[in-house]
Amino acid sequence: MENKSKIESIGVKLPERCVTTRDIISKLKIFNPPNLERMSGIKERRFCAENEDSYTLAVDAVNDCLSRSKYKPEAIDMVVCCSISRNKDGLTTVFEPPLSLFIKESIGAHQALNFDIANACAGMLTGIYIVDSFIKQGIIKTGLVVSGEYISNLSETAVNRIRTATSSQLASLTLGDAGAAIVMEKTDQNDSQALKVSGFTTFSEHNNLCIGRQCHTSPGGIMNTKRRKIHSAAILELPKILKAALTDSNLSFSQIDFFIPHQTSITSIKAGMQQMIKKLKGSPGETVTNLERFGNTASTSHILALHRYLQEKRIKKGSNILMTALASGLVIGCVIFSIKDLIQTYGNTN
Amino acid sequence: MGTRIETVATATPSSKKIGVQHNSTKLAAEAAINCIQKANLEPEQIEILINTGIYRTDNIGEPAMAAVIQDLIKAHPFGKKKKRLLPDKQTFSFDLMNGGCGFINAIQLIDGLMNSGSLQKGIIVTADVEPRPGYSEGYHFAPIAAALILKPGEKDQGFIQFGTDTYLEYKDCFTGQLVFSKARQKSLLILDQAETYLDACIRCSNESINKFLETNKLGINDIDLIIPSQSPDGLPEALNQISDLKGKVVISNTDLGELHTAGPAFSLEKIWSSQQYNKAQNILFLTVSAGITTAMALYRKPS
Repeated sequence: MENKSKIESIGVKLPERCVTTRDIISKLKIFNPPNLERMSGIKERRFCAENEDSYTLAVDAVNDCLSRSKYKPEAIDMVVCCSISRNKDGLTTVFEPPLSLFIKESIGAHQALNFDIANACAGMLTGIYIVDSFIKQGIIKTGLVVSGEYISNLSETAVNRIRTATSSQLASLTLGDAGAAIVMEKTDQNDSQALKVSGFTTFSEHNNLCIGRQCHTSPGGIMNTKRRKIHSAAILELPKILKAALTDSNLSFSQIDFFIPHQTSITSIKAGMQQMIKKLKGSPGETVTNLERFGNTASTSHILALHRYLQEKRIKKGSNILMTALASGLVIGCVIFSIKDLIQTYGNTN
Repeated sequence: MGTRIETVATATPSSKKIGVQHNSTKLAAEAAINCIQKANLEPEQIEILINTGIYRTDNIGEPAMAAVIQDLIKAHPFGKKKKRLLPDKQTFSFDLMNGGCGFINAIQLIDGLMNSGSLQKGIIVTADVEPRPGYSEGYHFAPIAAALILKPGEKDQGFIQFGTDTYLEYKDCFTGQLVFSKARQKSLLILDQAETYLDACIRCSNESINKFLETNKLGINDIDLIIPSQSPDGLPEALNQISDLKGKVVISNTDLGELHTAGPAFSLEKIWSSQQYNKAQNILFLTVSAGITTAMALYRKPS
């Protein structure tokens, strides 16, 4: 029987420090600041405290995940860290050894195969793509996909540098910190919860629309985004990928109960959805937005949104979930699955 | 079914001057283009591109360096006729980072995708350059890029076994970190290598080879050639001194510095047309990197 993979458990970590959009806008040194709260739908987001960073967020998310998992750390065969930010001990960026090595050491998965990947905000879904492949091949039985995004420093850099309401650093003000983790396990082709991972494509001709790097002369990072161009490119490319992924899964867009896009801004998601509904001739039960309280948490955004909906018991057994990556590169990809056992780990027996 | 190496290629910068800013993506793209041309392929035929380089120009974190390389080699979804390809014929790219071991991790991933029939042509590219000359301490790696094209092979040929080990007790022996120096008011890439690192790498490599051979019920006499990481400096020479391995280990040197993630592919290209390679049947790729992590791949050369 053919091997498949499924999501066994998920976990998140949110820093306690809450920063409102109004706080951020009030610090801008411009005469006519944009109405970011209305444009983005973000009222607040979490920022790391002094003792938190990508590594601590990732480890705390894994521990949260393992608290809902039947697996002990030593039963994890593989650890893939997918963060864009790879900060440890504050703002120090770790290149070697990779962050995944420190994570597996911390949680006690000492002999797990580990590596880091980078694929911008598509990181965790790319991690799912990789672990899914290793499980299907029978190389591993369980895999951990984890990310810790300490990206509030990009927002702080932008506050000091933005001089106009149309600045290319404006999108940095939407960022919030978070950690997310999932345990994936082996299942078989008859399991309705098996993941359908498809459509992963890099439209590299759009690679220069969002660029993030370390600052040379100040701590932390900097990100420049051509917001309108990236949105237009996404609208152009996404429907075809979605259509192919849905066809692969024998589903229509209307049969998707929860559509989880990458969480950027409410206006982008709404405008994008109008196009998707038109081109795919149907609409999902609900388009999940998780921006109001957490902002854009980069590669963790899909899992954070899924976690919130599970925690609030809004997802019913048998619901079809579609998570769509949309990231700098321009990367698009889809993960489709039906939910069953996962809702029970959140105490929902419905 | 084992995945086979179709072609391998490398690229070195035109300027060999120390302190010159090299472009990691352009260098990697040059190696990739050389490799694609050698394989008689068109760039848009590449379905997956994995970059395993660590140190890149300007420390770009987003997008993945792989996406920029993909664009430079024109593995666009338009194809030659400028007609958009179907989604399942397009290229997917990302970065995979695990020091020198990322190279074997990427091969193993592509091998899995090829075994499942979801992939026919994949490329692994790697390049390391000093991100910003003048903004680093202890950086000693050669600005060299390499690329490797993989294709599905016959049963029991190509890459047939993989293995990895971790020796966490040595995790502090080699570190590469970007740190903000308050005193100098700039971000510095600091590479810190303990004096004991080379010895630890030799010990871990030897232990991993023995474990790998035992797991796969092989003896060292079954291995014709060992292509190891070329860093830390002195590792391949030291491995070649171990009595069981003597004469089997490929040693590569350049006048550009120590070979990092490109080491095994650079060595493979160097011996590709040699008698030593032609005669070899079972080749063991061995990578060692910070952690200490070792990764091994047994390659049974297609006949």
